[in-house]
Parts: sequence; C-alpha cells; structure tokens
Amino acid sequence: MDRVSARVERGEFFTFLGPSGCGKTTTLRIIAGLELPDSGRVIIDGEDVTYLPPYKRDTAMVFQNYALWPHMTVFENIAYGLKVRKLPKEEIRRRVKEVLELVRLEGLESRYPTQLSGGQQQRVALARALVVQPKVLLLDEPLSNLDAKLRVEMREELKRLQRKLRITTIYVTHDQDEAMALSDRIAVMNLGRVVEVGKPDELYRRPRSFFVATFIGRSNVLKCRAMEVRGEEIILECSGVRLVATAADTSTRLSPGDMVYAVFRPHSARLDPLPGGANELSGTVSLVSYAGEHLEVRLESPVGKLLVYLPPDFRVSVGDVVKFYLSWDDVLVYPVVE
Amino acid sequence: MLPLGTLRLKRLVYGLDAFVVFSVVASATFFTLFLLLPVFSTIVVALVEGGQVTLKYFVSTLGDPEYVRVPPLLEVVRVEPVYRFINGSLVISGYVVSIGRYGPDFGKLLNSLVVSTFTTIFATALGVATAFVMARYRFPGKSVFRVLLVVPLLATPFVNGYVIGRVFGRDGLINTLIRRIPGLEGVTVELVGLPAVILVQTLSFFPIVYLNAYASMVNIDPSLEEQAENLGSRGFKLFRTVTLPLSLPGISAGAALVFIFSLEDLGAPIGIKAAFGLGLHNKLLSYDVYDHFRKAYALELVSRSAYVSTSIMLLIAAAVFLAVRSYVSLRQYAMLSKGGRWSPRVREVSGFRRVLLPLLIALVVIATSFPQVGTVVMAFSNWSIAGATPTEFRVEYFLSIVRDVDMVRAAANSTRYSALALLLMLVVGSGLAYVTSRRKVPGSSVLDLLATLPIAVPGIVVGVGYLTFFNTYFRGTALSPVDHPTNLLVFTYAARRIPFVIRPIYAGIQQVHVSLEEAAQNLGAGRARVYLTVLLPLIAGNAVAGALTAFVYSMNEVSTSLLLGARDPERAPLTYWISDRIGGQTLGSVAAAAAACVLLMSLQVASIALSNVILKQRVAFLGV
Repeated sequence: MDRVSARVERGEFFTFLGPSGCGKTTTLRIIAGLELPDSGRVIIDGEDVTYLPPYKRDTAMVFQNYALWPHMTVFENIAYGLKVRKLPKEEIRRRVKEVLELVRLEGLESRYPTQLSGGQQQRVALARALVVQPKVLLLDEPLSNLDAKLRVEMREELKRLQRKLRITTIYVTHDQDEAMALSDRIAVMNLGRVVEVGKPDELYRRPRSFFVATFIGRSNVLKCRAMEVRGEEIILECSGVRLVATAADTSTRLSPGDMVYAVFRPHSARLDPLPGGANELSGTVSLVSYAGEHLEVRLESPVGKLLVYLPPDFRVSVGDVVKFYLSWDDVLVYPVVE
Repeated sequence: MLPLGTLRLKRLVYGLDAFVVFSVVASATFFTLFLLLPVFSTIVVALVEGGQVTLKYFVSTLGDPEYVRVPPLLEVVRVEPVYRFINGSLVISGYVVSIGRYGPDFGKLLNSLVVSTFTTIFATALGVATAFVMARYRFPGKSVFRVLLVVPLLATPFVNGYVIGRVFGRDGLINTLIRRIPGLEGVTVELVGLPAVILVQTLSFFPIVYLNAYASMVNIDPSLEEQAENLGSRGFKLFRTVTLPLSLPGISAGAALVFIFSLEDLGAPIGIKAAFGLGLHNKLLSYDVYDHFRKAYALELVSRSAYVSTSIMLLIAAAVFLAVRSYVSLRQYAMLSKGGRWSPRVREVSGFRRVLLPLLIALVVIATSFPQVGTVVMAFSNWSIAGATPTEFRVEYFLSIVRDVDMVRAAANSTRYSALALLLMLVVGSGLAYVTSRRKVPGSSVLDLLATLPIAVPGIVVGVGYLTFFNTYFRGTALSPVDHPTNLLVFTYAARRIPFVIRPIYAGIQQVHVSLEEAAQNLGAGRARVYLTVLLPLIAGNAVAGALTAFVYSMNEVSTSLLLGARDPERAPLTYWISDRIGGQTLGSVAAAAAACVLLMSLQVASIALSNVILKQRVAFLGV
C-alpha cells in the first residue's frame, strides 16, 4: 500500500471500493490493529492508535467469513465483547436482547452458528460487533458470501441500522452497486492507492480520474487528440470525428496535440438534438438487448465500438443506423498517462 | 517512513504480550535446561579434559576392538554336530544350526550401525509394501487388518525379545515344529545375536513406516496417478514412477524414525538376554552405555568410553534427523488440485487376488504381532515355565502382580511421574504450538525445530545427559541424580514425549481460521483470553488426544527409566520393575513381567480408542 489517506467523519458510512488485491482489506485490518503499517498513522477520535493492540482499540469488525465461534451459542457469541468489558450480567442480557431485536433474530439465542442460515449468521456477526457500541464499525465484504437476493435485503438492513444508530462505519467491498447504495462517501482504491474520494453520485457522474470513470459504472472510452482549448470546452478529434468535451478535472492543463481519453456514459446519449448545438455521433447497430428500463444498444461507429442506452419503446434492429447526440459536458476528457 | 530497525522493533513489541512472552520464555527455558544442556554435557565429558578439548577418548574407543573389531567375525551361521554316547560309543545324534551366536560381530559401534541399517531396510520394505496394498486395494477384512497392523506398536518392553527367544530358542516353538519334519528330527535351529535383535526391532518398528507411508499414499492427489495411467503407465511402473516418489517424504520420515529408535533400543537386547543369556545381542552401543551406568557405584566412576558411546549415538541420530528433516521439507510436494477432500483411489480386487491379498496381509499381521500375542499368552499361562508351548491357562501370574507390593508401587510411581510430566508438557507445549503456528516472533523457527528434536535424541543420551548435567550443577538439590534420581524422570518424560502434545495441538490450531481469534481480539480480548476462550475450546479434542498419547508413551518409557530408576529402585517406575523381573531368576517372574506388559498394552489400547472417539480418526501422530 502506498500513502493511503482518508478522513472519516463521525457517524459517516465510508467505503473503500476497489478491485481485489488493491489493498482495501489491508487498510481495514490496519485500522483494526490486526496489521501494522510500515509508516503512517491511524487516528481514532483524536487518539493515535497506530501501535495500540487490537484489543485496546474501540473498533469492532465484521469479517468476510463472519468468524462466529462454533463452540458458542448465538447469545455467547454476542455477549463475548460485553463480558470482556466486565459488564454486569443483567446489562449483558439486556443489551444482547436489544441487539437481537435490532437485527431481527429474537428467539435464536441458544442456537449454535452451524444451526443458522447464511443470512442469520451474518446478522449474528453484525450484532456481535454492534453490541459493544464501538467508536468505529469495520465491515470487510460482509455480504459477499450471501446469495444475490439476500445480499440486496441485507444491504438495505445494514443501511437502516447504520442510519438509526449513526455509528461511524468503514466498509470494504469490490461491489460498486453495494458501495453506491450504502455509502455517504467512497474511497476508490487501485494498486494500493486511494485514487479518488467522493460522494457516490459525484463519483458516478463526474469522476475526476480515468480509473474511476472506467471502474464505476459502464462507459464508452474513445482515444482522441486535443485540438483546441476554449475555456471549459475542449475540442477533440476522434478518428476523424469532431467532439466538444470538458476536462474531468479542472486542474488538468491540456495543450493542442495532446492525446486524451474521452469518456461518456451510455445513458448520456440523446435521440433529439440538444439546444445550442451538441456532439453528433452515429453508428450501425450490432446488438440490441432489452434491459427493462432501457434498451442496451451496441453500435459500430467510425470512432469505435459504442454502447448507448435508448428508451425501451424505441424501435431498432441490427443493421439500422442510429444517430444520437451528446451534451459537451457529458463527455469527460482525461489525459493519457504513459 | 521509520528506519527499518525501529520498524522491526515496533513490530516485535507489537506482537509480544504477556502470553506470548511467557510461552517463548517457558519453551526456551524448558528445552535448554531439560534437553539441550544435559545432552550437550555428555559430549563435553567425552571431549574435554582439564579444560582442554581432546579427541583421545574418541580415538582410544574407536581403536578398541570391543567397539570396532578388525577383522570382524562374519560367521553368521555355524552348524555343530551334537554327540551322544550310544552303547559306549560317541555318535552324532543331530546338528545345531546357530544363527547369530558366533557372528556377525563388528564391535559395538559398527554392530549398532549394522542393526539399525538392516532393521530400517526390512521395516521399510515391509511397511511400504503393506501400506501400498492397504492404501490402494479394497478386499475382505480390510478394516480389521487396519487395526491389527498397528498391534506391534503396543508396548511390551523386554518381553517381546524374550518371546522371540522362546520361539526361536533351542527348545522353542520353531524347533518343536522342525523336529516333527521327517529327516530333521535331530536338527535344532537357534536365532540369537544381532539377527535376533534385527528381527525383534523390525517386527516392532514396522508400523511406524507403514503408518507414514499409508498416510502419504492416501494423500496423493488421485488425478496425478490417473494422469500417468492415462499416458499408459500401470502396475509396478506406475508405483515406481509416480506413487513411490510422491510418498517418499512420508516414507523417509518413517524410516528415519525407525533408524533412530533402533539405535537407542534397549528392550530387544535386554529381552533377548533374558532368554539366551549374555551374547552378541548385547554388543551394542545402547546396551554398552546402559551396562556402564548400571554397574557403576558412583557416577564419577563411569568410564569415559560410555560417554564416547553416548556422543556417537547422539551424532548419528542427529545426522539422520537433520538429513531427513531437510529432505522432507525440500520435498513437501504441494499437490496442485486443492480444496475439498478427494476420495483416494481404492480399487476393488477380483479373482485370485481377492484371496491372495487378505492372505498376505494376514501373514504380515501374524508375523509382526506375535510378540504381543506371546506376551499375553505368557501372562495368562504357564508358558514361562513350561516347554515349547504353554500347557495350561493360569490367571495366578496376572493376579500375583496386583498383590505384588513392589509392582503396585512401581505402577503408582510411573503414573505419578507421567502425570506430572504431562502437566509440564501441556503448559510448555500448548504455548509453543501457539507461538510457532500463529506468531512471527524471532526464533520461532528454532522453537519449531526444538518441538521435533526430542524424537531424534536417543533416550539413553537423555538419561546419561541428566546424570551428568544435574550431578554437576544441581548437587544437593531436589534435582540431584544422586539423591533424588527419580525426580528427574518427570523432566526426562516431559522432554522426550513433548512432541506428542505439540503436534496435535499445532495441527488443531492450523485448522482454526485465524479470523476467529482476530474477531475476539477486535472485541477487546487480550491474547491469553483469546487462547483460553476461543482457541482452546476449539482444539480441546486435539489437546486431549495428544495428552493421552504423551501420557501412555511416558508410562512406556524405557531408556531413562532404567538409567535413572536403577539408582533408586524403591522409587523406580514400572518399566524398571519389568526389566528387573524379566532378568529375575525366580519362578514366574517372567510371567509377572508379561502381566505388567499386558496392563501397559491395555492402557494404550484404551487411550487409542478414546482418542479415536474424540478425534474421529484412526491416525497415530508419528513422523519427523
């Protein structure tokens, strides 16, 4: 990992998102104290905990494999952290009961983990972490072992709990839908670095880095040459087609002749001309897939293969030529880094 | 970025806590004080005189024809006529075929090497062949054979050698059978000396190779053999080119153990001596050391050549151990297709093989387990005082040992020493297993080596080491071998048997996902608490199984029990009592020794059965 830096606000749901092997789990383990960083610090609530052992930090982690102790009942699993904190028996019982209600597992106290379904195990793991009321709740891909339907359910459940308890939460996942749905802010990681931090809609609509633009959501990438820079507008030449676009990051300085990537989302494509003149592209339909709320249309065009989303009632078939328009500020320009 | 040294230090301090520190310090102290220093001190006595290192005792011992005989006696078989006066004239009435009585004899040092080498070769050949049949074929009675094949591991110290003597002696079972063959009425065969020792040891050590080879073969990824078959290899070629090389790490570990066990074995020479009297079977390093210390009135009077013998045994064993350890770790074949247990390739046999295979295995079982069977027969019949075969069933010998005050006291002594040793082993061993499997502290690889080292150190070396070291540095204390020799047995048992505790606990910890511990730490539990509340309950089965094995093998311990026990017979353990009875001249003393062995065997069977129930598997923890 290389100079990963992030600041999480109190009560925030913060996510590290990235492909596998990007260092997001390691980051989480360093926060929990299960691993030591070569350099840098971990500060929780103003206190430097970098070299504090895990049991002296007020964090609670939900592991990817849940790590429920098979020799303890649900009650014993959840009560463990409270017993370690030497709380009176009565209070332990009360708090375990409360948290079980919270995660909707009332009545399963005396079961063993092997007698529970995957979703129930996951709730126990969550309850075990929540019950100690940690300063920071750490979640390491907690939903990845669940099937698709349950995953969506648990995602909503998790969001409900976090909003209700306002508990500072750091979440790690490689699933962008999950990250988008849950997080207040997301840190996108790649190759051991934090590439970009932002709110989900910012990251989706106006990613400042090329990696995020291609990693989150689907996008069309064209390799172009910058012809002219006019304030916010950049004129591009892409395989003989002229496009007007804008820099993704305002700090980017481009000169005419620079090679750049032009990126636009499939749903930016409009069928009607936009007022004030816009980019016009066309292509021959090579594949049409129906995706419920829109049609996914693949096109062969002079600038390369493209993907656009068109209204579901639009009549189109393979071989047709489709013309569409793009607003200049929907086409984002990223410098090509050699 | 912190400087590298500071970073290492920070990491180290971070990884340490009271529990880890205690475990490391306790293990290091235990192994240093109760294994390394005593063992090292035997070499010092052999090598140092007046503060100067000298090889003169080594040279004089190696030059002594008692130790290295040049030229050796090579007359393995001698046929002698038996004369008898018939009608006033001397006529040949028959022949005695003596095997091993007049040779071979290469001197004690070379004899030991020859015996260990041949025992290893025979035990390995038998073990590998049996393992292959058991691992690859399905045939009637297989599950029964699987149990019976480990019967030779049941401890019958000394008595197994005596049983061999009763079977292969001049008036033994074999000769009774031979004399019934027409034309051979006058022929007597006897098996003594080194060949007898090799036979006894091969029979009792073969299961060590068998179990290791079996485990390796069962763990071979079946697709590796299937691929070879698919390319046209089959039968012996398949075995030689794929199966054997892949199971070689396991086999060589087993073979190395056999070599070391054979080198240090006292049971066979003493047992055979009880049947035949002193002979070439006693011209071995192990017996030589034992005899020197047994006869010496004071430890200071023990000849230096005994220390030289001890050192040589240690060096040979250490060389074998280290060679195999590096070989096995070099050859830890990682099987490619991991994930999920595969079902090993077991083939149904048909036709004549359906009869042949069970028959062959039955022969192996009969041949290898007859010392144990003979011990039971001896305990419950008049065989020890009758002729070639027992003639009546008797429980009186068995009952007599219960009334025997000495025996009861010896058994109680053994139990006490073993229980105390077990306590020590659990405290040191469980901490060590945890540190070596979970924490990366400096020196954990050394601890890992120490955890297996006791297997490689011959018991006699440990015994001599204790006599030397504790007599020098702990004179007048509770650990003095002159005043309280048997107190030391608690520590020799712990030092020698601790691998039996460490291995299963280590294996258990490896099977527990580390996140279970991290989850507890993360919720605020310190390492000691994590160990006690999370890890220990999950590996309790392994710990109990290991504890049972260690306890039983402490009860069976021979070498140090004899060396230290002989210095205070009142407080000596059961194995010392057995050795005393087997050499005793009173009527029924051998039967009493056999009866005590039956008790030991029963204890062992009970503990194996119990561990099987607990661990739900039938695997003995053996191997380097």
